[in-house]
Amino acid sequence: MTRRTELEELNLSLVLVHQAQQTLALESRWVLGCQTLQGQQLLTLKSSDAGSRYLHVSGDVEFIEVAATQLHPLPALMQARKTWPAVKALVEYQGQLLVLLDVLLLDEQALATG
Amino acid sequence: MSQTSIDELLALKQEAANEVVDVDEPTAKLVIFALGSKFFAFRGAFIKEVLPGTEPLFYVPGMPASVQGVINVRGDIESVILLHRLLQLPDPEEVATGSILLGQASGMHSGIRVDELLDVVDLPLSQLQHPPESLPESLQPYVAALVDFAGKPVALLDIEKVFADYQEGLG
Repeated sequence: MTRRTELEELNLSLVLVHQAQQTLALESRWVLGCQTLQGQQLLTLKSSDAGSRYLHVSGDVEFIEVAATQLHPLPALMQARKTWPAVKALVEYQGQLLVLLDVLLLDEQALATG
Repeated sequence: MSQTSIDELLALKQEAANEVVDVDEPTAKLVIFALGSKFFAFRGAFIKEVLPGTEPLFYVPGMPASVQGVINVRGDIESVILLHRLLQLPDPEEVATGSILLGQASGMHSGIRVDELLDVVDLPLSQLQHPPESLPESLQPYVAALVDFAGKPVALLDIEKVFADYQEGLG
């Protein structure tokens, strides 16, 4: 089986966070739950120490699945120049290119201003 | 004095027209473009493709201002960068929407947004001149040669140096 065929058989579960005028993606395996609190979405995220932390999101939250072939690495020049370490990869979804964030490196303040 | 007939003259003219002119002088293909009021070029060998400025561009947060975003080129994702800051030129007054040159050199590749694509020409190498010492210091590391285009100087940029310095954090 080729790598391409392998990839075509794999799916990626994501949580889309619609924040301000952009949509950011998180790997769903790091998202333990989502609840609405005073009109805001509150995501419970796994943290690296096996505990959990919370992320307030002002926009909508959406759970999706995409083929692994829709996942793209960050272009090399951008990887070298990124100023927000949480920016990890890109995902094609409905004709758009979305930024996939590394939950473990996610900083709530950066998410709000990102 | 012998008279040459019209037929002979016409035959001579035909032969002259058929003569192969020796133009063996090596040439270089240059992609000439404008950044602000200045003209620059890359060697065509390093430009895979020229895309229209209307190509859908996706913003990526957490990048320096010189990264405009990413484009999807038939399934390949390419960054789109601006060179104004690297070359210490004034930032574009409006969001730059000129053509995107897809550059590739030394294993690095990226889209490069230019203000205006001017021409793609084949020029004899003899027309490339050494950059003068009076060239602004900010351009000296990147300009490999100067060439005349429509009466204006064009700075031929070393794309490998441009990409290498950009990757190192300049611009």
